[in-house]
Amino acid sequence: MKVMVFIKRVPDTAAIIKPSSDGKDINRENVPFIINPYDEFAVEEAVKLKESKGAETVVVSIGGDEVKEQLRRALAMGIDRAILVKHSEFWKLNPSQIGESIVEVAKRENPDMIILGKLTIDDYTYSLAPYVAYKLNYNLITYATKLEYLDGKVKAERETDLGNEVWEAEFPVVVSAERGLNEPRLPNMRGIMMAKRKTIEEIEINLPQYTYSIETFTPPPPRKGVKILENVDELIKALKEEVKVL
Amino acid sequence: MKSLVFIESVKGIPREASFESVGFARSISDEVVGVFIGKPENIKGLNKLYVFEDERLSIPIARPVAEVIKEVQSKENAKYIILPATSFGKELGGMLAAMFNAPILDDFMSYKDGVYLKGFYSNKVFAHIKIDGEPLILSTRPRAFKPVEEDTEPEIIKLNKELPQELFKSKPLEIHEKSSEEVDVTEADIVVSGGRGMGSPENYHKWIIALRDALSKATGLKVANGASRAVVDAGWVDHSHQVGQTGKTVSPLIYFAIGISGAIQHQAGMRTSKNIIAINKDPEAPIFTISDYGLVSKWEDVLPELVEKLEKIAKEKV
Ligand SMILES: Cc1cc2nc3c(=O)[nH]c(=O)nc-3n(C[C@H](O)[C@H](O)[C@H](O)COP(=O)(O)OP(=O)(O)OC[C@H]3O[C@@H](n4cnc5c(N)ncnc54)[C@H](O)[C@@H]3O)c2cc1C
Ligand SMILES: Nc1ncnc2c1ncn2[C@@H]1O[C@H](COP(=O)(O)O)[C@@H](O)[C@H]1O
Repeated sequence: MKVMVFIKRVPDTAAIIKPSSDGKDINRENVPFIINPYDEFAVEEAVKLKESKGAETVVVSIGGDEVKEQLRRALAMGIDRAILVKHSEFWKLNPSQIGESIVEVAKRENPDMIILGKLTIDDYTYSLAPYVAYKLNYNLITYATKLEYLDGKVKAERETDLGNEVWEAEFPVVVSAERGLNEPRLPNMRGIMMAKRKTIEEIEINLPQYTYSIETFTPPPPRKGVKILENVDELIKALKEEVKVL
Repeated sequence: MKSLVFIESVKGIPREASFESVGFARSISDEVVGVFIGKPENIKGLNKLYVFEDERLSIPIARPVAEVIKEVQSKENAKYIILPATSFGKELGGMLAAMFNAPILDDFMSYKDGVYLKGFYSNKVFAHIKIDGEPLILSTRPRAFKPVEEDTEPEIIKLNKELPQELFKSKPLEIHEKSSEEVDVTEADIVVSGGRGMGSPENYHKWIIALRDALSKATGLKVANGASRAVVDAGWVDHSHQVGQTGKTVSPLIYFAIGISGAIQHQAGMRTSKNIIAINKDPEAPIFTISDYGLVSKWEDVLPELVEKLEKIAKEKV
């Protein structure tokens, strides 16, 4: 079995994000970057499959040289091989463009399973797992919180805004990882040393062009500031007279 | 210009978020065509409604539903394909982008003069986006748009199409639905969230739930209970209630943060709420910096009295 995971480099969840001075981007100075948290679940799941079923594992990221940091971390967690799809300023791409890159690499590698994160915490889209599943004609399971590997198929628990569900799909399959799927491990010293010695394969892919651009970034509108209430009656009064829900 | 809107439903009842998508569609197009799976009732704001029935779709499955939309789009050639950014709508949107080789903008919150606004980096900044395509796939963030009000009588068109079984290769086996009184945090008008400061799961389940139910009775609005990650990790309540960067993004009319410090990852999920009310014993807690109303107290000194007074208001109403 061959499993591919796709990871994106994103700012740390705790980072303070402000628009750059020209507003065209965010200020990237002194911002620590991490593997998108949901993609870390994907990496962990693939490594577990390698350990339990001897799966061959490949990690891919679309980005500039800086994303090698995240690829190496995935290798250190136990992934066999890494591929970098070269694209500077990858955070400016539309999901459909990233989708085409993922589809291209997947076609070359022909995996039985592709695991993505359910979303990326930078641009908050959720589109890629279904995009890729459609284009590759793979089955799809989104928002997986638990995966069980049966003969020729996977059984998954998933969490949606309507509740919890159990789904089943045959291979080949695209899965998107939701929190709860597993607990990503911290790479150990041996893993880190091995990852350093591995070469990261670099490839280029032509992207389709779309009318898509982020014109500016602005800070969220300021909130009006807190009004300190002294007691419950003042709270009830505010709910009645200002929020007008009582 | 024409829009095609997917009307998502649960057990045959259209979701409110779908009418927000129709409301947005009305604002940018002169003709709005809907697609509905099942038997439609009380569908507002549309010129035309395509109806498709298939018992295999009592639980929506993206791949076959995409095929239904493809069929409608081949007749209508709409410029915009609009969906609500629910769990299912987001999944379907990605699939449609692939199907039509179209650009997609997911979960945006407003539109003006050709520019879409969307929260990036967990709403720490807002992005002003220009995007275009034929068609263009858009999903509207729940609660960010006004639901359509016009009560037009749509022309109903029944779709007769056999969907091949091979489109159903990913399929649901079991569904554990929320009980009908339980509202999802993303759809609620009021979210009452409790954090580690509640002290124990028993306190959470007694007092957060009591406030949720009292508010629901006193206001008649949809109220849900939310949580910080600290208490989800501690197992007090399941992850579907978690608000924040690795939980859900909510923008209710009122967000109560009780015993929640307001870590940046928590703020990410709730800072676009209309009114934020914090109850925290620590006056320095970061949650107060983004709140509209604050009570600097132990919850023990607030919740019992608040619940009692709300219950009294509820009784007076009936
Ligand atoms: C990658 C990553 C993702 C994360 N994602 C999320 C996320 O999605 N959502 C999320 O919430 N967090 C998330 N976090 C965790 C976040 O950083 C905080 O740890 C978490 O939000 C803290 O939860 P809390 O406010 O309940 O607990 P605490 O920070 O411990 O705050 C408890 C608060 O309760 C108050 N308190 C104590 N006793 C009382 C009392 N009797 N009455 C009133 N107030 C009282 C205290 O003053 C304190 O302010 C994430 C962290 C990381 C690293
Ligand atoms: N630049 C990228 N490189 C590799 N994988 C990506 C990239 N962007 C997104 N992905 C993958 O697609 C998933 C969903 O992304 P999105 O739909 O954009 O939120 C992510 O969790 C990743 O698994």
